[in-house]
Amino acid sequence: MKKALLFLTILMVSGSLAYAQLRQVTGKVTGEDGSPIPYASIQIKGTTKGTTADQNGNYKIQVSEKDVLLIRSVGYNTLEKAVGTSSSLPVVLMLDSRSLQEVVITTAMGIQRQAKSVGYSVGKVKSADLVTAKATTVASSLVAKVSGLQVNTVNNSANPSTRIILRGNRSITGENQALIVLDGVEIPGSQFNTINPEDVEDVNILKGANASALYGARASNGAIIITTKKAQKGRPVVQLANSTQFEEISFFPALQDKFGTGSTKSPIPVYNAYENQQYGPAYDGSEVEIGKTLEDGSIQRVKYSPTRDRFNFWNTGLTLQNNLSVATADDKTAFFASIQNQKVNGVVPKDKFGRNGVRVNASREFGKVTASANISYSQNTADVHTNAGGLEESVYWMVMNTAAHVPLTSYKNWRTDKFANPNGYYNEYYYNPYFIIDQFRTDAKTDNLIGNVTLNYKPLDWLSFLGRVSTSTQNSASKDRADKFTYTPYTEEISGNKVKAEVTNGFVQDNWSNYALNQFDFMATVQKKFNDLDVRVMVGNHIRQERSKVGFVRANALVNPGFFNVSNRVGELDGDERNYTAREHSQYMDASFGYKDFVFLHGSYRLDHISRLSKVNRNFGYPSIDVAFVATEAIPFLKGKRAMNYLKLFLGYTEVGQANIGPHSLDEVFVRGPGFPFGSTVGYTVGNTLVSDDLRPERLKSKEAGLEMGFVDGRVNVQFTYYDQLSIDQTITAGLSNSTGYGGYLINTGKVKNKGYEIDLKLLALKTADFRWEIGSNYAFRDNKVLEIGADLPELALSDASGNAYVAAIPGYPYPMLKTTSYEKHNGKVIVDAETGMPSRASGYFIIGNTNPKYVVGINTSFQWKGLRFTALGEYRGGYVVYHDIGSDLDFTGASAVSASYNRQRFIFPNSVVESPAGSGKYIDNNNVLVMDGNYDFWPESAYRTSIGENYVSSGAFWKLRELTLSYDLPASVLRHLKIVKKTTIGFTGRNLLTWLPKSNEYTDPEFNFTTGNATGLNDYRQTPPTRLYGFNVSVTF
Amino acid sequence: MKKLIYIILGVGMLATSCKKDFLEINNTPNDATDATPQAVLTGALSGTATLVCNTWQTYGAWTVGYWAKSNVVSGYNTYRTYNYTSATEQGVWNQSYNNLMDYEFIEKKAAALTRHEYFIAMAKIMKAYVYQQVIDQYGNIPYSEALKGKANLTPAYDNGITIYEDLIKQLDAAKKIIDDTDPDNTIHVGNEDILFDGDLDRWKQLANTVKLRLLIRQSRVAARLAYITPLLTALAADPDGFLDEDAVVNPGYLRTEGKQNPFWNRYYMDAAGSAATEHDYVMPTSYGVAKVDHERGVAIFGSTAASGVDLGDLNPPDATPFGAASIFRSYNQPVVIFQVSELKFLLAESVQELGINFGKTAKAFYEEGVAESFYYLMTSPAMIAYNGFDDRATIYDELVEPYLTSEEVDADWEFSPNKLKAIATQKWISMYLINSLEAWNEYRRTGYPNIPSSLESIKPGQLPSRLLYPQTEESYNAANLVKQGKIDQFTSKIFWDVN
Repeated sequence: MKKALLFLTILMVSGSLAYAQLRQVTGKVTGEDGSPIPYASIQIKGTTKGTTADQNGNYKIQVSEKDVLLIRSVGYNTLEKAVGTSSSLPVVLMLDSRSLQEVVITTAMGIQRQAKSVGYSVGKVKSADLVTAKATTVASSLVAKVSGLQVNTVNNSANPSTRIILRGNRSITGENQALIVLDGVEIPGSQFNTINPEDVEDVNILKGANASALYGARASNGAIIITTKKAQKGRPVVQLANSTQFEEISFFPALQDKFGTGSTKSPIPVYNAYENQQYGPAYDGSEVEIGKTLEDGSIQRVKYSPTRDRFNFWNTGLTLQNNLSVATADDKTAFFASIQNQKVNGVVPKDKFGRNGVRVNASREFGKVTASANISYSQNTADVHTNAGGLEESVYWMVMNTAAHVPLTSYKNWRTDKFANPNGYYNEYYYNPYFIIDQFRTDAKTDNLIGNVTLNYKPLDWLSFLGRVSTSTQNSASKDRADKFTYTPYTEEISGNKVKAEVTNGFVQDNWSNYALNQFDFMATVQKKFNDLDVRVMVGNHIRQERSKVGFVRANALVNPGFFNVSNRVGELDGDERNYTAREHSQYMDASFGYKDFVFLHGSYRLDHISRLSKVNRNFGYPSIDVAFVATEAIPFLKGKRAMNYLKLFLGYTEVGQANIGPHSLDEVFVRGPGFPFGSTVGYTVGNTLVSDDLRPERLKSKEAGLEMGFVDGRVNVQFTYYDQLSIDQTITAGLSNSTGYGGYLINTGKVKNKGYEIDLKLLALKTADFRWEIGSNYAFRDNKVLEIGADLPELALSDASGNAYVAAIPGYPYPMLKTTSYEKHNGKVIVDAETGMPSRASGYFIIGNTNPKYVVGINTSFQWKGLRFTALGEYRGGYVVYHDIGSDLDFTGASAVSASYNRQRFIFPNSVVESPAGSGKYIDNNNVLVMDGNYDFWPESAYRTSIGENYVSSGAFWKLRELTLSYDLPASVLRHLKIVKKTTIGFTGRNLLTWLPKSNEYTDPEFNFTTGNATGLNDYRQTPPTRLYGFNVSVTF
Repeated sequence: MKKLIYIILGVGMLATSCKKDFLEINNTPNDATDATPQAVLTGALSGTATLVCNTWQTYGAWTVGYWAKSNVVSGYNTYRTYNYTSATEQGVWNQSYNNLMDYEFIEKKAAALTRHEYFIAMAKIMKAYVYQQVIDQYGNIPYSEALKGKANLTPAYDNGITIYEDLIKQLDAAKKIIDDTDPDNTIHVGNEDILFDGDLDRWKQLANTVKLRLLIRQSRVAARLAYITPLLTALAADPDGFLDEDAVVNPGYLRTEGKQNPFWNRYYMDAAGSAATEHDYVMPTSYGVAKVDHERGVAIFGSTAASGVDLGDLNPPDATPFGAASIFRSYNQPVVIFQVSELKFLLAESVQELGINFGKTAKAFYEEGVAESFYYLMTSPAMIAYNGFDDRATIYDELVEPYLTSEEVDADWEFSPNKLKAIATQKWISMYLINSLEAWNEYRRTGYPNIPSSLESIKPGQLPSRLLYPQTEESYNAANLVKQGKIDQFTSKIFWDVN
C-alpha cells in the first residue's frame, strides 16, 4: 500500500516536469536517520514546475536563485527550502506525526491497510521508537507506548519473564495473553522473547478481538503483529551497533537496622549468636560472637552494629548487546541479514544469560511470482542459580534472614573460609547465600528456529494468491542440579538443624522439551476498484499442527559429589514424559469495501475445526463486522479545515470462539498411585477430575467504537476508543465436593464482562527548522466484572487458597480479586483484648480489591535539535492492590522496618477498640491498653501479625520513569573524513531509572508476581528486588 | 491464464483440505483412560495404608497425646490450640473420599466385568473400613448419594447411625459374595492384593473384625444396645472368626524418594539417609513417656532414656526426637491397618462390658492383647538386638508376664479396679504411632486414658471432640452442609460419644 501511495505521488507530479531555468541544483533527499527517501517530489513554490527524486533520493532541478522549493513525500512533513546560491542542496525530511491517516498498518493475516480505513483500534510502534532504550526484548520495548497494552515484567532474573495482556483479562482460567504474530505467522508466546528488537521494522498492536478475529480461536486476547526489516532499494547498508547497560537494584524493602539476632519470648530482648530471626537487643557497637564455636575452638567475632552488606550482596549487572546487519536490494531482490550477540550478567552473583541469533529475510521476484523467506535462529543459554530441588527458599530469602551486623559479603569463599563454610556458617537455620549460588544451579540451552517461506503469485493485477509454510520450533535441554554436601560429625552433633536433606543429598535432573508449531496458509485475494468503490475480498485456508514433548529424568540423591549425571545416584531413577499433538483446520473470509475513500465497510467470517474439542463441538464459526467513516473527507464543510483536519468514526462488532482447554483434556484418566510402580507392582487410582460430556468453545462477544481526530493541521492528534466485551461459556475446572469421588469438574460456565476506553494523544508541540518537540500520551481505563462462575460456585480460587492471601474470581466483582485474612474488627477498627491488648484473627478470608490496574497512563516526549535527540517515557498504573507475601516473611524474620516501628516496645495497637464492659458486645476506642509484648511475642507471631494477610496489602500504584535516552548523530562535517561511514550515533540510555511508590508499599515492585499466569497480584521472596538499567550505545552505519 | 488460476486455486484448496481423521487425535497419550480392578485394588490398598500411617496418623498423634512440638520449630498452631477452622485437616475428608472412590470404582468395574466377584467383596470390606473412620471424625456424611460422580454433584448427608448400620450390611454382603462364588468359575485375586495376597479366609476375618469395631463403637450408647447385642452374639458364633495376625499392607516400599513407607519418609529419614524435615519437629509427650512402660517405651521412643514435653509448652526443651526402634523400623516397614491386639481388646470389652460369650474370659483377651502389643514392638531387629530374644515365648516369659503380674493399675488385670480403663489404656499404648486415629476414636468413646489437653487449648483443659466440615464442603456442597447446623469442635459430638 505504501508503494501504491508513492506511485500515486509520482503520477501526480509527473505531469509537471522540468522547464529549463537559470542553473542546475542537485541534492539528495534523506530522512532524519540519513537513509534516502526515494521518489520525493520537488516543486518550485508558486509554479507547477518540479521534478522527482530517483530511487536513491537524488534529484536535480533547474532553478533561479530566488526560488523556493517545496519538497514532499508521503509520510513526511512538507519542507520549504530557499535555493540561495549553493549548487548542492541536501534535503532532510522529518517524519510527519500528523498523518495518522496516511500510516499504513498491518492488520490480521498480514493485510496492509491504510489507517483511515480501519474500523477498530490499532496501535503502531516503529523501529526507531522501539529500540531507543535498547531493551533486550520486544516486550520490554513496548511498555507504556500503546494504550491498552500492559506488559508486566514479573521478576528481574537475568532472563526475565513477561506477561502481556491487551485490555485486561477476559478468561477466568484460560489464556489472557495476547497472540504474537511474527511476519504474518503466529508464534508461541514462549518465543516472543527470543526476537531481536533490532530486527524489527514495526509492531502493530491489534488491541482487541475486533481487530484480530481473523486469527481465530486465539484472537480473543488481541494480537501483537511484528514485522521484521526488509532491505530497501539502494546501496547496501551495513550497520554495526553496540549497547552496554548496567543494572543495579533500585528498590529494597524497608529494613530495620536497629536490632540484631534473637528469638526469645521475653520482654527484654536476648541476643542469640546463631539465629536468623532479628529480635535481639539493639545494636550498641560492642563486640559479639556470631555462630557457634567451631570444631577448632574458634568463634567469629564482629562488631554489634549494622552494616550495608545486605544491600552490597547484589552485583551490578551488565547487559551487552552487539548487532551487525546488512541490507541490500535491487529491483527484484531484497536481502537482509543480521547477527546478534547478547550477554547478560545478572544482579545475583554468577547468574548469566546469553543469546546468539541470526536472521535472514530475503525475497525475489520472478515475473508474476514473488518468493520470500524469513528465517531466524537463536540460541539462548542460561547459567543461573535455582530454587529447584527441594530448596524452598531463594537466595533473596537467605539474604533477608541475615541480620544487619553479620558481615554477609565476607562469606564468598565458603570452600576455604571456615566461617563461610556450611559447617562454620553462623546461621543455624538458613544457608550462606554464596553457598547456595554455587551448589544449586540450572544450566539451560534453548534453540529457536522461526521461519516461513511464502510464494506470492499475481496472475492479474486484481488477483493474487499466497501460499505460506511456516514453523516455530523450540528445543531446549536443561540440567538442574545441586551438589552434595557432607557436614562434619561435629556439626551434626552441635547443629542438627543445619543438616537438611536438600543440601546433604544433592540431586540432578535433566529436562528436555521439543516443541514445533507448523502452519500452512493458502489465500486468494481479489482487489479491484469499481468507480468509487474499492473492493478487497480474501478467502483463506489455514492448517496448523502443534506438537510438544517434555520430559525429565532425575536422580534424587547423588553418590559422588561434583558429578552431575543421573547415573551417579542413590535409589531409583525418577522420570516422566508428557506429549501432545493438537491440530486445527480453518477457513476464513475477509472482505472490505471502501466508498469514495471516506466510508469503509469490513467484515470477516472464520470457521474453525479444532482437535481439542469433541467431535460434535469442534466445528464453530464466528463473524466480525466494522465500519469506518472519515467525516473530514465525506462532509464538504469539514473538508480542508486546518483547525480540525481529520475526523474519523468507527464502530464494530465481533464474535470469537476459543477452545480454552489444553490438548487431550477431555479424557477422564487413571493416574499412577503415589510411589508406584514398586518394582513390578503397579497401582492406579481414579483421577480427580470429571470432564463435561459436552464441552463447547468459549465465546467472546466484543463491541468497539471510537473516533480519531486531527487538529491544527495535524499537529494534534487524538484517538478515543471504547470497548465492551462479554465472554461466555468459559471453560473452568469447577471445584467439587470430594464426596462425589472427584475434586474438580471441567465444564462450560462463567461469564465475564470487560469494558473500558482508551485515549491516545499526540502533539507536535514545537517545530522549527532545527528543533522539534513532540509529546505523546496514552490513557487506558478498564473495568471488568465476573457475572457468573457456576450455579454452585461462590468463587473460583486462581491461586492456592490456604495461605494468608489468594486471588479469586468472584461473581459481582472485578477479576482477579484479592482475598486475605484479616483481624477481628468492629466498625472497621481492630478489636484487641482488653487485658492483653492483642488483636486476633477473624476466621475466613475477606475481599480486599482487584489486582489488575484500572488506570494506565503512558507519557512520552522527545526533543530534537539537529543531531541531538532526547526522549523520556513514563508510566503510571493505579486502581489496584497487591499482596506482598515477603512482608509476612520479613516480619517473621524481624528484618522489616515496620517490626521496629515501636522500637520493639509495647504500644497501643493503632486504630483499635476494646469490648467494654466485657461480654457486652459494645466497643470503645482503645487509648490505654498496650499490647502485651512489642517484641518477639508480637511481630513474628502468626496469630497477631504474620498470618494476617491484610497487613501486607498495598496499593499497586506506581509511577515509573521507564525510559530516558539521549542520542547524538555525529555531524556530517566530522563523518566526511571517514569516507565509508555514513552515520554514527552515540547514545545514553536509562530504563526504569526512577520508581515512585505509595507509602503503603514498603516491599517491592507491584509489577512483580509469582507467576505469569492469571493469578496476578501476589508476590513473594522468589522475585529478587527490582532493578534499574543505564548505559550507553554506539551505532555505526556504513 | 484463466485455466492456470483455476489450477492454482484448486491445488491450493486441495493441499489445504484434510483427511477425515485429521482431527481425531485427541485421546491422551499421557495417562491411562481405563484401568483394571486389579491395578486399582493395588493402588487403593496402598492409598488406605498411606491414610492410616500418614494423614490419619498425623492428626491422631497430635490430638491423642502421642507427640508434641519440639523447640526447633514454631507452628502447628491448630494442633496446639484446637482452634479449628474449616481449613483444618481437610485431607482427612478429601483423601478418604478419594480412596473410597477407588473402591467404588473397583466395585462398579468388577460388577460390569463378569467373574470378578471377589473384587466386589474386597471393595465393600475396605469401604466399610474407611467410611467408619470418616464418620468417626465428622458424624453425618454423604454416603447413599456419595461417589456418584456426575450423577450427583452435591451429595446429601446421611445420618451417621444409618451409615453404620448399612456398613454392617455391606460387610455381610461381602462375606456372602465370597461364600456364594464358585471358585472354579471366577478370576482369583493374586499378588495385586497387597493386603492378604488373595487369601479369602483372611478377608472374611477382616470383615468380621471391622464389624466388631463398628458394633463396639456404639456400645456406650444405651439406646444402641438393643441393636448391637444380637449382632455381637451372632458374630461370636460366626465360623469365619477374626484376624489372627496383624493386617498389614506393603506394596513393596523401596529406598527411593517417593517410594519409602510414608510414615518413615515423613517423620524419620528420607531415601538418601538424611533426617526427614519433620523428624526434629515432633517429640514424645511427657504424658506418653510417663504412661508407657519402660520396655515398650524403648521400642516406641527409640531411646532408653526418652524425655518428653507437654503439648502447648511455650518453651519446649531441646529436641529429643524419636529414635529408630520399632515404630520407626525401616523404609520398607509395612503399614498395619488393623492390629490383632486391638481385636483382642475389643473382644475383652465385649465380654467384660456387654457379657457376650466369645469363648474366653475378658482377662484372657486382655492379656492376649497386651502380649500382642509386646510381640509387635519387641520383634523389630533393633529390639531383638536390644533385648536379646526373638521368640514369642521368651518375650512372654521375660517381659509380658512380669508386666501383667506387676500389680500395677491398668497393667495387671487383677489390680485394675476399672476394667474398661485398663483395656482402653492398654489399647492406647498398643496403638502408639501405629494407629493413632483409631486411638483418638477410642479415647473419645471411652474417656480413657486421661490424656491432658494442650496447655494452649483455647478452651483450657478441654480436648476437641471432632473435626469441622472442610472448606471444600462449604464451597461446593453448602446447601447440604447447612442442614447439619452449626458445628463446634468441642461441643458437637459424634453419635457414639457419650463422654
